[in-house]
Amino acid sequence: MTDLFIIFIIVFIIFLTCKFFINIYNRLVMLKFNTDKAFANIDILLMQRADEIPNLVKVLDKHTTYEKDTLQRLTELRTRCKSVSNQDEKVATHNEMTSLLGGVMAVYENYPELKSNASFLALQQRVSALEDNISDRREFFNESINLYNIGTKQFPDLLLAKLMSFELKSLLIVTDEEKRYDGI
Amino acid sequence: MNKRSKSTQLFYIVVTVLFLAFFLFSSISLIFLVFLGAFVISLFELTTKRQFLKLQTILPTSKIRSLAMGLVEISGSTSCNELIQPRIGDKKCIAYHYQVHKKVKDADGHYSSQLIEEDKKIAPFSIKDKTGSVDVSTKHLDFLWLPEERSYSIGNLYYTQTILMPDVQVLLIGKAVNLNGRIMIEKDSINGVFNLTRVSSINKWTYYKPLLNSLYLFLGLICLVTIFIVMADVNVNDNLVIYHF
Repeated sequence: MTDLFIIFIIVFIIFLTCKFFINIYNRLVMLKFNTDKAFANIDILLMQRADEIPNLVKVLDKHTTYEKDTLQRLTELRTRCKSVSNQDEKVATHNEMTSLLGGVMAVYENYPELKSNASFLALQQRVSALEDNISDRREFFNESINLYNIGTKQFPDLLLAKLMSFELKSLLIVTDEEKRYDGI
Repeated sequence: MNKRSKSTQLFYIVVTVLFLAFFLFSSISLIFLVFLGAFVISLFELTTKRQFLKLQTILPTSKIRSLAMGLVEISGSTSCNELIQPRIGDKKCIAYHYQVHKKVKDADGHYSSQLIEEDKKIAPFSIKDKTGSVDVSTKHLDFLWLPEERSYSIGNLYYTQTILMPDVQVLLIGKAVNLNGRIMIEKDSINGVFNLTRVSSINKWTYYKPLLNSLYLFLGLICLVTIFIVMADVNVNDNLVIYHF
């Protein structure tokens, strides 16, 4: 067998290996940038929702029976999500905010005086409209994150993902309100 | 000239040069080099089809109501206000791709197919999902795996037609742009992709692709082993076959 042929085989195998890893690298980079784009797409709506918190606190403050701690925590979360830059921390903050806001917005059922409060009703409508938009974009964001997480954990992609320090990312949670089925 | 025709030209040039070199120098290594060259070029050949199939595994599907501008993948059913008349048949459709091939015989008596007529028309249409509807640009739109409709042949002429009908579940990858407040999907110039296919076709592809990859790997290994065996020096001593690698 000629030496040239052996060289060809070796070059060919090296080439295939390089091409294989370049493909994985490009795929991982694209998946990562997709998650960033998806987050940028939803972040603006999440911030708009967070900006409604001071109004909510103002309205609910008058009804002293409602837990002050929850409102205090919501205010803290709003400040925190404006200050943090890490995407995962932001997602965690928004997830906690989503749970608390769901509880606060549902509280009006127990307070007849809130049902007739125009400010609260207007606020509830604004938040509800925002939640509808967030719901669409959250689905898109969660799908991007899911594709990315699978991409970084499947073999052999995870070898390169580890080298590139690609960590798992958190999903945005779905509220209990959205999960609830009220029947027909 | 698009990327595909450039790389295809390059492919033909490399193969021609290597074959000429083989006949000039009569080296077996050059045969291998020809196949290697063809394989390498095919790996780098950036067809829109390949790019589309790659991107559809990476991109998440967007809801039409909340489309972000830029490269997007959407899925929904097709709808069109003014359907067009296809070249074959009378069932109106959104788009058709009509081709006439002629079977020609060369000097050596080998038959080959030659494209002698082509016509592609797309009516303005939109794609709608549960959340809304978006218009699709008809410029540079490529179809993938659309069904053939009423193809036939007369003598040595073959008439084929693929069509896109309304209310078909499709998957589209393109660039979302805002044109005077109206969202539209058009060709993404960076990735060079603007393809549409039926959801059923892409589901089949996703299902069978891993099997196809295994087949390629298996065939590749068989080829490699065969090349080693064929090219190795063989000695036969007392009913014993000895390979020298």
